[in-house]
Amino acid sequence: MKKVSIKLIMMSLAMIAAVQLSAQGHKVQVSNPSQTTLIIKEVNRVSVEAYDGSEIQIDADSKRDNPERAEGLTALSARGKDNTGIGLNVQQEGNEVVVFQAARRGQGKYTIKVPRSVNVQIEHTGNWEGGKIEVYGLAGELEISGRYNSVYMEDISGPALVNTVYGKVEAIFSQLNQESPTSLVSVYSIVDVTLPAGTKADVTIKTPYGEAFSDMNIAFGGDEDGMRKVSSTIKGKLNGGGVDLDLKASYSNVYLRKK
Amino acid sequence: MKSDKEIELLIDKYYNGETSLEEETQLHNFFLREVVPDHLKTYQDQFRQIGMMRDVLPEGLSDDKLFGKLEESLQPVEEEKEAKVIVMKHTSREIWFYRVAAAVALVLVGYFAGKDSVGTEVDSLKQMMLTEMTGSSASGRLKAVNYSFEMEVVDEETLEALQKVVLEESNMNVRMKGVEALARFGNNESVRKTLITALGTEKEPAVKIVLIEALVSLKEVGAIENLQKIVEDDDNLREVRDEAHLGMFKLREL
Repeated sequence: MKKVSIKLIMMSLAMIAAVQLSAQGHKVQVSNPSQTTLIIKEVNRVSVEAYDGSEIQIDADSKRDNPERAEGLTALSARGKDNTGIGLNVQQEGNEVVVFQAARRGQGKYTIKVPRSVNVQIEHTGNWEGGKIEVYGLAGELEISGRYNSVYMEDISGPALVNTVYGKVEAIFSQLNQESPTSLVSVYSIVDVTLPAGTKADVTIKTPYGEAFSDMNIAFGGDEDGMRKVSSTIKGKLNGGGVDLDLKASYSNVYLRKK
Repeated sequence: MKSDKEIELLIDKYYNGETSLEEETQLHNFFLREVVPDHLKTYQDQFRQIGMMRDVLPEGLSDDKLFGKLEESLQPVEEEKEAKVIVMKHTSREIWFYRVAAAVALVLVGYFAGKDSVGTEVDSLKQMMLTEMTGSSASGRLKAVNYSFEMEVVDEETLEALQKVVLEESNMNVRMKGVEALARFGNNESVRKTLITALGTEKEPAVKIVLIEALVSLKEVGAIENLQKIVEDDDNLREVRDEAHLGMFKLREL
């Protein structure tokens, strides 16, 4: 019994040490941003914004106090303990910082500020309450998987692997990472991508039940006399070709524009 | 290469019986390509076969020639009656040794010649692929899968790696690409089995749809059972169930 309680105390101390609590929100020190992955699970209405700093700062725009009856009681959640005071559970293990929503929140939005080069994974498998997933200014690798969520990304450079079922995928790239491929998929909604005009890429656009539109100069390869395939897959090269860029909207349209 | 229009004209001509051998070869070659426009797909099987039939019967058919051939093949039988019976002498052990050695040499030559023709380029591509595939970056793993699209022939190891992606990869974008990559090698039995298994276990609707498309285009009748399950399972999205239903129909009727 004694051993167990000592263990428990040690563990909670370690947790508190790893995750510094602060009054306004929640902060996690990051020593090596480009080697760090921030994993966000099931957090509703989350916006991840890059800034020039060395810590991950998590804020909630609405603070909800526990009901009066709950005084002296601890909130129970199957997902884990709210260790931030803003309805989230945050843990740091090695190079990973994992954030997931512990308390049920009807409204409000979480803003997470991160060093620019942090890799970010966002996953939401729940129902409609997930809302929009937003990402601004990130230079690290992005991996986003949603269900009912729309995904909005601005000023990113990829690589980005994004998929959602019912929501839109909108991405405005400041440049397109040439190291590794980018793939953006929505099943029922649109995929809308803006690239700098000079971006080099081997682009594949798939719209089995939809259409594709673009104002970019896509060179269609293959047949000599300019014959185009009569099919829902478009393959071509942007500015002579480069990294693989896959865009797919199974039941809707793909829009590819230049900036 | 001929354009769609010209091919359509050729097809008309063919049905009127006016095509030359050369034009039929053109048709055959056109339909041998992997990508055939949707509206011409119905002709694909037919024209692919036409070329093959000509390979088998190069000089055309006539009754005279056929009977000629029959007689030719009958004659030797009569001659054989008169032929001497030659007793095969038992060969010494030495000769057996040479036979075995020749067989081994043949296998070795075949192996190395095969290895050389596949080339070192593919080998290094494969190595890059297998290395990237185990990485922690999802985009890196997608890159690995993309490498396989540059390979025309693949070995067992590459196929296994792709099958693993289809069944175990955590990122949906990568898994979906894995299905497309694997489906290219659909004439392999174990590949088809993997795709059927994946159809039974896959959760993401977008990947399910790609799996159904792949199995239907491979005409894999073994997928019908899993398609039936998808159709009956209310948890699946309506579009996925529709796709599965359509897939079942195509596999059964076409």
